[in-house]
Amino acid sequence: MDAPRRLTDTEADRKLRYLFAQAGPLHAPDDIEARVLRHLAAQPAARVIEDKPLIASWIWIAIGTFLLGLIVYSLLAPLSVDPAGSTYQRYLHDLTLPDLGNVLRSPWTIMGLACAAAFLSLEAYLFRPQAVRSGR
Amino acid sequence: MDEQTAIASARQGDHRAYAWLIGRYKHMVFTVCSRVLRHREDAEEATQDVFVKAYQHIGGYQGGSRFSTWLYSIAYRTALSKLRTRKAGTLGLDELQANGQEPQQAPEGDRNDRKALVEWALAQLPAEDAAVVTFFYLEELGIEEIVTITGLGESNVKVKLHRARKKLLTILQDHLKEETWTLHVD
Repeated sequence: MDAPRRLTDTEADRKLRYLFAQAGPLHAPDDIEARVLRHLAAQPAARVIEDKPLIASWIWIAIGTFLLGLIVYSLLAPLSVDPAGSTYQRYLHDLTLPDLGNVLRSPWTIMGLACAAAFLSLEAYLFRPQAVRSGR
Repeated sequence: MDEQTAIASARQGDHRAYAWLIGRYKHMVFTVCSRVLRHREDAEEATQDVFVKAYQHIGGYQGGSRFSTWLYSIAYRTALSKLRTRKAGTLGLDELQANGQEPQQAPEGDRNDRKALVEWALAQLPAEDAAVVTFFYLEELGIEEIVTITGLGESNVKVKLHRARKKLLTILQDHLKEETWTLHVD
């Protein structure tokens, strides 16, 4: 009589899979749905927390309108200032924008940008999608 | 009703849709909990907890994996957590898994009662291994999915499967005489 042949892993898998399929899963209690739903119904309804913006949209609109008005006014207003004009008008025409090139070359600006880049990179690193832990 | 519709409705708080999802997965979730906890009442309680937790967090299910994978992950972790709590302070998890089951008599005269035979064989494996084997042989999940569910490393899952396969065949070969159960031992 031939000695019984050893099973390969694949054959063993096939046999075990067949056996498990024959056995099937265990049967959960019939009333499990009712139990869970009863439990869920007994819980206080989840409070919906609205994500309110820190600054309301109407405030943003007001600020935008004001700035736009300021820009339009400064562009359209006569260049010559009447000395008898209001303090506000004189102040507006005395306004000079800083030289942008100098601002960008300033060490403060460079350090500020570097810090912002560092923080953004750190945030991106810390909140990266987590890989599945290997081992315990 | 299809699964995606049920998930979307359950997210909106539709309990009927969620009951449909429970009905679809309750047996497998209960099986996983039973294989880990080896105690019917504890497994029933764990199954209930799993579905409650899943409902509470269904908003966080992004659809990146199958719903079943996400749900089995909750089941596996909930059952293990209950197992740890049950024996907390007395045994470590490894000891607990090794001693998790009282030695039982093999089911007699029920060669055809495959369910009892499988349960008896699985009861002799550590809890984690029994769950991994259940995912692999009963639910026919791939290694990658089992890794996602259990959080174990891929090699760890493979080792557990290999070890469990060997042990199961050793246990079962005397009880399945009609088939050629000769274990391939390295």
